Amino acid sequence: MADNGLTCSLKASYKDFTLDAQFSVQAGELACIIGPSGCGKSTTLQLIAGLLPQEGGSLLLNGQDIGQKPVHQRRIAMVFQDYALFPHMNVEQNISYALKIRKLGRAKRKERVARLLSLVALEGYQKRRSQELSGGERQRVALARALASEPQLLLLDEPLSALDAKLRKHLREEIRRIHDETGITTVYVTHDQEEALSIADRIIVMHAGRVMQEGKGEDIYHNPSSLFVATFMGEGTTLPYSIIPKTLVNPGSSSEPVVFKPLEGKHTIFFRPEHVLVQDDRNLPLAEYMPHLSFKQAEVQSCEFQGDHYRLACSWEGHTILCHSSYRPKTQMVTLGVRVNRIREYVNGESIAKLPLSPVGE
Amino acid sequence: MRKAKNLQYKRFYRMVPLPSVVVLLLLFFVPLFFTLSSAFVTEEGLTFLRVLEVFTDSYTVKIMLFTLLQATLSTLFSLLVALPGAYLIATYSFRGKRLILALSAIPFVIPSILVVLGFVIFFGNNGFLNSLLMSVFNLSEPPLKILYSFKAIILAHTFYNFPIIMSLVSSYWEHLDANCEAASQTLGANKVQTFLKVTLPRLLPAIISAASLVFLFCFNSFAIILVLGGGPQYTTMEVEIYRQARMLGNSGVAAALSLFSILTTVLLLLWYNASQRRLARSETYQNSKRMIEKRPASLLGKLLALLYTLSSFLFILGPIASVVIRSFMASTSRSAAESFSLKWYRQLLSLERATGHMGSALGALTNSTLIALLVALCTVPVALSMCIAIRRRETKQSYLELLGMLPMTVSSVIIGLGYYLISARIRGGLTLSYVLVVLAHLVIAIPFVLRTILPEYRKIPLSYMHSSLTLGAGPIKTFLQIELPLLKGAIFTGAIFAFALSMGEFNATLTLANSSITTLPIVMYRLIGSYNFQGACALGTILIGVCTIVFIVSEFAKGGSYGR
Repeated sequence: MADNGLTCSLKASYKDFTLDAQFSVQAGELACIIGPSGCGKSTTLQLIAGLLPQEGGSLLLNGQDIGQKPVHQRRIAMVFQDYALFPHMNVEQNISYALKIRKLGRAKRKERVARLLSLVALEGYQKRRSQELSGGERQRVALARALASEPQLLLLDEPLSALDAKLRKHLREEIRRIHDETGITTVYVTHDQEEALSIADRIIVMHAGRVMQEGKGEDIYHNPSSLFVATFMGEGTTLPYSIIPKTLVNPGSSSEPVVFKPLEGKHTIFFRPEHVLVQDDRNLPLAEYMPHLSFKQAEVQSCEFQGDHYRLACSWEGHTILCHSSYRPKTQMVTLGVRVNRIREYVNGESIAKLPLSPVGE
Repeated sequence: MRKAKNLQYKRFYRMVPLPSVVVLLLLFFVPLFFTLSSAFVTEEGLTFLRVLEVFTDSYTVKIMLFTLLQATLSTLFSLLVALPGAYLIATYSFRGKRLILALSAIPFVIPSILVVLGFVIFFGNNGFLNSLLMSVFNLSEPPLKILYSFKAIILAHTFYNFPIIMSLVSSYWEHLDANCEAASQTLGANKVQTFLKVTLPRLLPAIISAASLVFLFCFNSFAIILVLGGGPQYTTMEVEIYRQARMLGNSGVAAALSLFSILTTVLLLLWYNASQRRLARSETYQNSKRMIEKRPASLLGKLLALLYTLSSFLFILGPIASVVIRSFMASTSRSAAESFSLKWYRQLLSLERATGHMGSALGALTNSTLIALLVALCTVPVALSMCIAIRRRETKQSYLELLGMLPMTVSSVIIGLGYYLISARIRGGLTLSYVLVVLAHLVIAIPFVLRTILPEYRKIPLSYMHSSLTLGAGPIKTFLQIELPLLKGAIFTGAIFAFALSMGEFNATLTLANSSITTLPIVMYRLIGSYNFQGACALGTILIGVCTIVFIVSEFAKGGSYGR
């Protein structure tokens, strides 16, 4: 167990919901907790802050068990979804609130407030009232206020959800920059997978009060450990295992042909849309020279222009297959292909390590 | 397992309201216990006979029926007057609309004894309305003889209560989604059909809720019936309780009667609560007001709007204004006509030798002010500490909140009766009597102060307190630094409210007080009883002044909260 950073094992039960989550965050890391609404990610944050009672487990911060400390002695700062700027105080009073409680001198307080405001790029905002600030400015002030007391851990509860899309992108870069400048261990809760993938060092995917997967963004996207994570972190197509014999193609040129092995249990295969090849000319074969699955006579149901690609939903024998194409198909019927090594297989929703289809001779 | 009890400061928040709860329970249940014990306990011991006897007595049954009848009629008339106004306010924008809405808050703050006085001065045989009509139509007889009759009761109740229905219904109406009406019209219904089939059904929960509140007020009405009813043939339950206890000396009968009153009030309150919940469920409340705010289109519409505005001004403000005007008038000699004079104020301040009950006026003014100050100072900490605990609970209606509303289940006459029975049991001096008056006022004021502070408290997001905690402030520091500054306005409003409530409190004070106790409303009542209306008007004007301050403060506080 690392004695640096946050290691937690949280247990709590509520009327219709139990939370049982274990994960750890390295010192100086920015970790994102992501999950659908109601998965317990905000509850997790409140448990770490001490705003909700913990029923068991442990909460270690930099080697110290803080699970039994009251909220105000934990030295964990939190930025709330609605920012919770105190409306009866101006920006300076808000930021120096924690400093005043720690009985810092007046001059020192002034100096720290100025430093924090320049960190969040709001120089000269000391005397503004919180009602006069825009959403983005409030968010920065809330961040500065949280950082003022030099906490050991910073918690951010969906800090960008109240802002519009463009501002969101800009501010998440800002949060990343401020994190890198201060080096503070940060836990960031969001429900936006794009936000998590772009900002986090580590992603913790939660579902129904449990941690489903924990790791780097690339790992989670490319090797989702369960069907839930696969479909939550991006799009994809889920098909029953039984379609493989009909669609498996071993091109003559490939040195190692792949064979289908029937398996027990409820098996499903999953692949991402960007890994699907689209051929709209019936007379041409798929430009694929590796073992792959080929879906002939798939009907294009919808074609959305996404800027850099087209997003197609195709119907094949009653199944819907999502794919990305660089051009708009000219015919209604297309052939789709996906390489065998792009396919992941799940048993009862859980990943199994080996590939479903193995080269002959293995 | 080490259960982290103090971690979320649970114990702290559980301890905070404890003293207040004890105080409230004592203040409420001790007098109630005295009332019930004198209903059931006689010299022979515990008996249900007396209660049974009283309840089956034909005279009691007559009173019960009359009480229900007058409340029903008053509610119906209030609805009749209020609903057109609610319609006007909800659909049109016109001159004076804001003023009407502001004035409709008056009945919430005006003491009932003042309504009685205003009514007598305005509608009386020598009142303003009659003098006006007599001079306009050149009559020798006053055309409106409504005082001291059944009509007077209904009229006074209507005047007192229609603004409540108007403001409650219109504010609900304003926030209804207007697209439903538009949709109905695109589907082929005409205006009348749309109103009957779409608007009215959606409005009904609000109407029922407001009407049941008014019914409750009329059921428990005391001063209006006592004075304007003008005799035993128009006696309601509350008046009969007072009469039995204080005039006939049958406190046992009074206590038995109050059982009926309590039972009905509790049932009405439960019904009102249910209707409120239905209201909350019935439609997703639109945060923005409906878009169509138009001026009345037709000339007839304009005329009607103008007429309604003018007459509601006349009926809300007329009695109050006439009290003020009358207080500055006196006749120099017996035969001379009345002219401007400060006579009553001079008598009030003992600058001139006062006659009759005016002699006790200055004492009453100081007594009332002192009592009201005490009440205001004591209710705020009680209500505030309960609010702190209520706000922390996750569930919407905690038992604490219900407890805080408990005194509302019992009419103020019955609270007065309870304290009267206490004073009869323990013989103390005058000081004790005044202490009991203060205690009775406290019980009555606490629910109102709680209801003033609690909504404002609920507006403070929990995240404010949470972020203060995460920033290192403990619960006490958080309260002092965050909650208290944000609640300043609400606390002040609550205190002023309690002050005014105590200043104007009549029902409980009259029921419990012996003749040596003088407060402003009591002296006013005695002055009215001895036909010194101008003197009563002078005292009434002071009460009006207090109410105006409350009114302005509460209106100011509405817009004064932090924009969030």
